[in-house]
Amino acid sequence: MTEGLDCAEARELIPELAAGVAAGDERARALGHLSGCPECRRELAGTAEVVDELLLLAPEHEPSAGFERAVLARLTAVAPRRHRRRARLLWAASIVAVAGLAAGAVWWGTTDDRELASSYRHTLEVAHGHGLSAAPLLSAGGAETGTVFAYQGSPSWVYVTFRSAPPQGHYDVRLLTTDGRRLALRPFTSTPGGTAWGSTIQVPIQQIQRIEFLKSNVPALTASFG
Amino acid sequence: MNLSDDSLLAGMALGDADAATAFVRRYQPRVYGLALAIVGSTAVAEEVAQEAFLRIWRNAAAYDARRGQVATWVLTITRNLSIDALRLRGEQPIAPDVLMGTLLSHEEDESGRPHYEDREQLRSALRALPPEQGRPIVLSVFYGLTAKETAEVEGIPLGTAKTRIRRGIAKLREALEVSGD
Repeated sequence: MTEGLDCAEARELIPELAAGVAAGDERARALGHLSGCPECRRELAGTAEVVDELLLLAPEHEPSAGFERAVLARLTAVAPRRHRRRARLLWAASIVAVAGLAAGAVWWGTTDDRELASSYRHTLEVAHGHGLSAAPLLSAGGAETGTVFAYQGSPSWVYVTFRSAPPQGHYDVRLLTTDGRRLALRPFTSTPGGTAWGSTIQVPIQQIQRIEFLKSNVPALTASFG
Repeated sequence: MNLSDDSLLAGMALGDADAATAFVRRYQPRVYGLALAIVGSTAVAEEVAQEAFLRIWRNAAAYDARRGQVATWVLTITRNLSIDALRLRGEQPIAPDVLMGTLLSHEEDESGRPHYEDREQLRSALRALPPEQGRPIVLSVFYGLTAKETAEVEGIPLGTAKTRIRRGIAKLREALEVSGD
């Protein structure tokens, strides 16, 4: 998953990306390429427009009597997510915007909340995702070394961008769930210039407590989602 | 007063029940219609449509008008939930030709609607596609099948499935670009 795609390979995947059906690993690799390729992003945007317009061709039908009342009863029973939740999303959005959209530190410093929310939503749209979360990846000394993104979809996956390649060598990667399970993920071998890693996961992202990169069975890098 | 979609969503983001009522009334035929087209069952389509409105209500604050039409955002949510419902029930789409026929035979009855000409242009282009290109697009866009799954359903090699989807979408895109000129 650390290998990059070229434009031809990424464009092979664009119809599936636009339709929201690309497999997790391929999707992550394609998004990695797209973050640095404006031409392929334009290609994806054009293809996604076709997909969007196709959905609009579906004929309208009126649901049964009582549908509206049932919907409104459910809506009013559940308040929209409030500021605390939104702040968390905006924080995730800012991480995504910086790491995924490659806009850099200037963008980070000047963008208002609305733009961050927009970037978050756009990232979800590109991936046609059902949910996205993020957490900082910290070294044993507490230094921030990268970001872990967790995507809820079919399949779900986690993807890490490192600020710089971690110390070279083999890392076992472990996911700790909120109910105490320890799940082995795809191992990671750090090489010079390697700045990303990813793996599909078998649990909902809400159940991720922690992601650990272990060297010789000792946690070297940790991201906490709890 | 007839508020815009954006305004209604903004109201929903603030928890305004009146905005939610107006939004549901405006969108329920489209949301339910798309869900019904995909899942094929009135009961399941209503469940999906309810869930879609709940998700829209919860996420209204994250919508940004600069990223496109409200309708496509709403329908993408509906499509994803419909596919989830199909998969949850272990049901496989077996008749993309039926959905294709539904999409093609339907005629819009309100030419004054926004993007009406785009839609008719797209419908014509979809009608003009060879069925072997149209079916994989329907399987992918409406039923959420990967290229590999599409190849299995169609009984063709993976590379052929990818090529057909890519070429078919390219033709549809040309049609949209022409209508947008």
